[in-house]
Amino acid sequence: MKGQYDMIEVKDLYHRYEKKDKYAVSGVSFSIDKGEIFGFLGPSGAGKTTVQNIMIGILGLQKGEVLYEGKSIREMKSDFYNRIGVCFEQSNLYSKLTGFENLRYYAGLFNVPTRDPILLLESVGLKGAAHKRSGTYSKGMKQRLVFVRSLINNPQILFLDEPTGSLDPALAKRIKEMIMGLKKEGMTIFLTTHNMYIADELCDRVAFINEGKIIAVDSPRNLKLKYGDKSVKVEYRAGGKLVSEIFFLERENDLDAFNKIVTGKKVQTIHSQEATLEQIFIKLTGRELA
Amino acid sequence: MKRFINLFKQDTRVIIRSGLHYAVIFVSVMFIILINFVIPESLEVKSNEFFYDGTQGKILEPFLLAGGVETDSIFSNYDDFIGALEENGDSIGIQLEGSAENARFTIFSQNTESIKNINLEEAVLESILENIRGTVGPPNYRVENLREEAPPIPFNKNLIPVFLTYEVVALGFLLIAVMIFQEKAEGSIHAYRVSSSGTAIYILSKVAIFTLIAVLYGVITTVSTAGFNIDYAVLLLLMILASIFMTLLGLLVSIFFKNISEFLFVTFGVLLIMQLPAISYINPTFAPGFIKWIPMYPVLFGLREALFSTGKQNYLFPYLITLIAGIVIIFAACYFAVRKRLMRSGL
Repeated sequence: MKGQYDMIEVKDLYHRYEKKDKYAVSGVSFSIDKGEIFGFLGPSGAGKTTVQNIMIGILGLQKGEVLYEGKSIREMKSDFYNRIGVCFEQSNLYSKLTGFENLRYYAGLFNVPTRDPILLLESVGLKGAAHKRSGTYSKGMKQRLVFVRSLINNPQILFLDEPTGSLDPALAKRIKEMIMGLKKEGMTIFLTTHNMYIADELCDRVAFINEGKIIAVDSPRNLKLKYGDKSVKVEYRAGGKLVSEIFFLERENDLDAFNKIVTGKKVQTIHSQEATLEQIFIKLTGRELA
Repeated sequence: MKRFINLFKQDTRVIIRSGLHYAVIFVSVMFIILINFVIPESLEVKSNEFFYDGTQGKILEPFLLAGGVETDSIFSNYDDFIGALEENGDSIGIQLEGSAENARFTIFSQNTESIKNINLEEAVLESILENIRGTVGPPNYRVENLREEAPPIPFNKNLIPVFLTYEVVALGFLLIAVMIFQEKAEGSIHAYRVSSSGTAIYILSKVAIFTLIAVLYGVITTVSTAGFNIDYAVLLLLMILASIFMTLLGLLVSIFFKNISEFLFVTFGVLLIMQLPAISYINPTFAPGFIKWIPMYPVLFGLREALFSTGKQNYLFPYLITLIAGIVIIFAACYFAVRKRLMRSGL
């Protein structure tokens, strides 16, 4: 496998915060190919942000290695940031500046050709609000602005942290289409999320992280084939309400519960379905993603 | 340079949108009004001395009247004299008895006068007695000025260096903290640290904008209160260096606190230390070594010399050395603190 993933290599990463006994991240290793969308899935506090912060150089390396095309992050100078874009989950904008000014001044912090702020704003439906102060934007507008800000310097590698978290389905679809478009342009994308649907839809491969350790790394399809149990979704009436439940029929408890509902309740629909990434995550870790 | 100018423009716009310049303009206008129209050029302290001439032939009274003492302050009745002293708690009474040959003064004190003042009073009375007796000899001392005598500084104008030091120059200390806490609250610093502009540009941009504000603020205030006939080159040089120092100090302190409330507690301590040279300014005989090492000392006295020259030669060089040394040390401290605490993960 070595040499296949040459854009980013994370090797045996450990990190412990000051005054903490336990490692926040331990033995994390994975690699990302050029032009790949790599999903990093885990619940809050699993170590996703710690790994990303080490990868983008704002947390120092304690133990392990992060390589970009074979070159250590330790050797990177400030020009490294000309090559990457980071979309934060928090809307860390200058609230006193307009959307346009946020992009224009941010573009001026790089010494590489940058994108046209107005075109970027237009791409996420913010052209009409370009000259309004970002402090007056809604949460979704701020998130879209932060997203396009991460593209201002034409990065080769894009780090996205929950890029669709506050967006309605239509806008989330637009962002997802843009991400797929960026992949087609050859951009390497590191997507941190706890949204299994986004990861399933966009990622070539995903890594599950829990309690600072990588649990599994593979494509969503391979993970489902390897770990996914077939399940059945049943909708039935109980106490005047419509109840929906999922049963893994290979499990004895679930099979008994399923039989009881089928024989004793007024069943409305029964659908067989493929396991989701979340179900696989729960199976591997015993924890939910959200 | 392109990135510095870009960030400088951004910081300027953020400050203007935050309305900080209105506060600066307001304080400047207030000070100009105070200096030009409210605070007088001199403080006339009315002497509150009462005299009782109990001598045979009232030999004291002509001397007092010739010396400008008002008749209301000279009593011929002892009871009236004591009554006036009782009524005026801040007064001092002087009684003369006997004849010219064996005159005897009594000083009635309220117990609030310093020993120094009582001793001065005694010396003055001795001199009056010598005049009454006609035994005044030629003075056995002379005064020689080291340089051409400077005109006295009007009381209101003497406050200008204090204002420039503790309002104009110290402005950067507070305003940069406001800006840093705003950036911390907004999280915009997170975005900056993943751009290719580095720590030095971040610091220099903020220092440049607050120094520029301080210089504009200081020059407008100085022109409006002291006029044009002063050494503006020295004034500008000192204000620029002092503003850089204070802005860097404000940045250094604010890095270590989460919000402005926590910062203010420390600010009181820092500003208190910085204000110690003002004691030496008011009372020049009090100038212990440690006060001279506080960077506001050379600023305060340097600005006074620039505004009201006393003809001192080569005074500027040691002041500049102290300030530049302070700036170099604090810039290095700021660089490492910003890099470790703002540009890295911690906030």
